[in-house]
Amino acid sequence: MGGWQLVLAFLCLFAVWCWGLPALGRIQPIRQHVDALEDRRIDASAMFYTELESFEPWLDHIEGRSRKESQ
Amino acid sequence: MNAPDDSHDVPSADADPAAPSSQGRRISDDWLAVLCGATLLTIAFLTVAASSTWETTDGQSEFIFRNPLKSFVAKPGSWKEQPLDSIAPLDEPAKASPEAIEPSDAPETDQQGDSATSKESQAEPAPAPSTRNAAKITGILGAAAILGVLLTIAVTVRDGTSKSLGFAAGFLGVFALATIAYVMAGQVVVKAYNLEYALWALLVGFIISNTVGTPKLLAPAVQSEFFIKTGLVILGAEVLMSRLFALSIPGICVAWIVTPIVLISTYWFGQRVLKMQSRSLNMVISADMSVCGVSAAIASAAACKAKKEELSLAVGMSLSFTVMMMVVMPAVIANIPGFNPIVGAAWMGGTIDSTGAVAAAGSVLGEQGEYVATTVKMIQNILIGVSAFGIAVYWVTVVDRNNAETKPRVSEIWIRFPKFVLGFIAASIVFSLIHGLVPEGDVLVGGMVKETTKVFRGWLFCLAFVCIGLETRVAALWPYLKGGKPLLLYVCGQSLNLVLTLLMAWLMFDVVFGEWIASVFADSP
Repeated sequence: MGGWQLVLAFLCLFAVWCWGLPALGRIQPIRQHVDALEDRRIDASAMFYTELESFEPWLDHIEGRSRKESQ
Repeated sequence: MNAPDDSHDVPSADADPAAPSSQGRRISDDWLAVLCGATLLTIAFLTVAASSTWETTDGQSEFIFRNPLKSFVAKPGSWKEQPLDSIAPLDEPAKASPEAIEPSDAPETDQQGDSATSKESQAEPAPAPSTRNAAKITGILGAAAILGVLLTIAVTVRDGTSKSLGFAAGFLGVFALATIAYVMAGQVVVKAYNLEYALWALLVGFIISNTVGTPKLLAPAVQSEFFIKTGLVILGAEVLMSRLFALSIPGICVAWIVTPIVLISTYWFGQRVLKMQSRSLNMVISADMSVCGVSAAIASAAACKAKKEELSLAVGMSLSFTVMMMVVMPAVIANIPGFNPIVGAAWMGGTIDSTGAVAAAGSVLGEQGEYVATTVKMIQNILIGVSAFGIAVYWVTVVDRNNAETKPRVSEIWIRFPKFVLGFIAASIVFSLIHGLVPEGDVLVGGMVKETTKVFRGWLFCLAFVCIGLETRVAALWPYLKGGKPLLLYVCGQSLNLVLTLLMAWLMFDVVFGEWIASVFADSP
């Protein structure tokens, strides 16, 4: 019984991820949202600031500025 | 698994039937995590320090950063239509028409293959035959090998040689499940709405444990606490103290004055008003809501020895509210006439739990909004070390004391203190000093974190959440949801957070330091 439940659960996940989510991603407003994040290289699922590539130039800027101010 | 009650101080490794007994261990999980984390950080740093050199070209000296480990450490990337793109992305030149792009003009493919999700990949599909880049597979297998060998040695040191083979075999199985979770988290729609890998790792483990049960093969490697603690020690290298002052006084006021007030008030509210049975659940929810979401939940749960179900519940609630807030808050701010977007950005940075969601929401208010929101969140990120230390001290000196009803001696406090927190703080101090004081230290530490330790830390947390899922039964979660107190605590705490942060953001980013903030942006990149 448990084995069938496991197979069914993973089949559901497979269907959602291989068909449902890609289909959702083709809907215009969602696609625009995803594209806007990609254009700005924002990883909206980042857990910590070190995972944000888009943040690096700004971080360099403010660190350079604070070094100048301290000198 | 323990039912929720006031026995919040039960160390879950001891209470956990899947974990090996703590009796007969030669070294505690805490010290073992410190050793493993320190080993990984030392290897990663020495590798980049020994490989990077000063080189002179055309009479100009330039520091060249090199990281030989980069090719051997990776995690699955993002994908749109094909899950396979996550681990073996299509090579860029093969995706575009060969007539349209000459080889010399073709965009460089990232070694890890992340460019598979770049804008070019959305161009009209070209009829060119596809070839897949295997670099990421090498990196994933490399990460599995490095972590597998290190952790197997650690388990052998702790439990003896009889346990090492079982752990190594189980580790491969748990790592495979973590890879599935990472692939699920890499789908671009899932990523865009901040549904982090922690959620999918929990789900994958949860499905297995609640259908067929945790397989015996995996059981020896189901060691969520050990993985979490090792990951936290490695995370210490990312907590760089110099970045505290990135936005000077305004940033400090929003992130370091409001946040502790909200954390303490929410915890007090949970204990005194809601009368929550589990203090550790109260603390984990208060920390993840006020500090920075999942990473703060992980750190605080380990510091106060919360149960696995409590961490799962706190992470689930945090991610659910984050999705709502990252959509609603920028829409509200953008539609209020005269609302200063910088104040709005600082407000979101201080209130939306997750870092990635803050950046996404901030970007709706423009580039400056994105930077301010993310910087405020970064300063909150750095609060993780202090809050974990504070929570650990509070737990062993106050909470454990209340339970024991006698004042513990200093030696007892030391015995009970979660030592991995010291490893976390030590890593933060050492790498902050290297970053700030050693010549080119910022390049070395930044590169090491970006290309090596951040990936290891992610894998360790992902493994930990798979293990938590594998140890969690549906029935064990219901008692926590009774009466809706955790939800009420989150809503009340977040409401206070929203009010106080808005007030402080307006005061600091508009009234007092408005001109200074404008000057920061005047010469921005």
